[in-house]
Amino acid sequence: MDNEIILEVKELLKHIDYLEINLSDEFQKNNKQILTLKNNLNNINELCHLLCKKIF
Amino acid sequence: MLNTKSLIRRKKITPVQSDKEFEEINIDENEKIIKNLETEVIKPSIFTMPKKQESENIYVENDDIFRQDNIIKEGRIGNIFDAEFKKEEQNELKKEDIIYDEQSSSYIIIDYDNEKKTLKNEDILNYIFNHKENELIKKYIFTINYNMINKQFEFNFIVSKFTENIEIMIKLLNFINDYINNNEKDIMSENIDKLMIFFYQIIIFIFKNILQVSKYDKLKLAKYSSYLSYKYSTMVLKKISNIENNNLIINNTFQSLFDIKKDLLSKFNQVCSLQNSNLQRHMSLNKNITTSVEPSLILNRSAKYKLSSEDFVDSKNLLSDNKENLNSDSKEKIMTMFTESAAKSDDKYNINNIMNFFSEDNSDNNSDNNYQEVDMSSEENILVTEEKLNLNDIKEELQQISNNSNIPLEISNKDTISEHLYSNNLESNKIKSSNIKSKSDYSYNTNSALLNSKFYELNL
Repeated sequence: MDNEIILEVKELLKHIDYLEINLSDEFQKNNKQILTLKNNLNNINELCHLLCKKIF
Repeated sequence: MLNTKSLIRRKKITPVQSDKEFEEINIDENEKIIKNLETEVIKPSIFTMPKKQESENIYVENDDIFRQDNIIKEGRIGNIFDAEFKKEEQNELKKEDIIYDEQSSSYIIIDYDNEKKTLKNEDILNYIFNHKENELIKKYIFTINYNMINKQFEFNFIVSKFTENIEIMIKLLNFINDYINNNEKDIMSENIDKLMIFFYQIIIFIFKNILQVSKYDKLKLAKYSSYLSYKYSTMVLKKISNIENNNLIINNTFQSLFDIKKDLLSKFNQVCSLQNSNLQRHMSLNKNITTSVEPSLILNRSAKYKLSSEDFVDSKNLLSDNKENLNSDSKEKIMTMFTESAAKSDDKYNINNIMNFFSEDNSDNNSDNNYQEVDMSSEENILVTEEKLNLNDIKEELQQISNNSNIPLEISNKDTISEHLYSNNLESNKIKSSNIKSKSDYSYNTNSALLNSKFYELNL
């Protein structure tokens, strides 16, 4: 009985770790995506600003 | 021949003359035929432009013709006008050889061979989503290429009559913007990501190529650039808001996982400590019984604990577990030990009960005489069962988290999980991350348009 519980707890802990690692990956990807989007937005705004500056 | 011609003209010019007078004119049959032929041809020129007929530009000089109903009906001038109109129509088609059809949401392109070809917006979406190739897209708009250096896909735009037409490009951008807005539920999906990158690349291309050499006036250029910037900003802010919400959900999931882990570990620790205490008692008693039985020690122990119910359970378990270890000699020793010690004591302990306790008849009976019955289900009970750990609840919670976060739990596949989790190899980490989503398979280079597009100086 004891060994079964130990093995089961161990397995559950592995699953929790697995979920945590994957969630952490997703969190990092999201943060990276936010940074990329902000960077793209800055590029567009900068180009727009430069164009308007040249026009007028 | 000449005489007859002049005669006929003279006759026609004088309006006073009646039909009878025409009939009285004496001409032969041949002359009549000639007369008929010539009147058919010359008739318009007689009324309108007897002198202007030599002019090169008939269309311009014959403005008055339009005011005369009789002349408009004449075939000759009508044919000339039609030809001129056709020429103009052809010129217009050349100028506007790409037309957007709102109803069918498609672009009608006049090809270089003067053939009309239709390109639907759905074809463009298909090419972006599924890489389903289309000749017209590759010829006029863009291509999707795989960059071997950065191992990413790239949108490479083609300078053509399609991409140079800012109105058509804005129609395309509007369609993509509407598609993203109509599919807000899937804003975190891979396809929307692709579309957003495509949108960004188009805007960069337009800024870098089209608007820089544009023929439009300043106000229109400013209007276009601000419109594109506004559209993209709105789209990006929506997306960022969604990603941040997603991050909040991930944080909450982390917190719940932490709680589950804490709960599981505390329960596991409880079990371990109880098991350890059991084991220690078991070992100490076993040691005392099997090796050197010291009567004073046992009595002291009994006196110390006053023979509580727990101790009886312990001793009972120990004896039941180690029944085989206790040989008949040791049993006799214990019995003599208790009888001797009882004689010395003040009848504090009921020897008979103790004796009965060791007897095989009462080995299965928990409710010994005069002693409190041990409640196996009570909290004080040191034997913790599996149900008390609530592992099923934890499993369910984990499964729910797995379903909500779209991360496979893979409970059945224990080996792969342990391999992925407890190995520090980079390869295994790659496998692990690839199991979640296949985003990396379709990653796009967001700087391709910025790097690959041509740059022209402003010529305003």
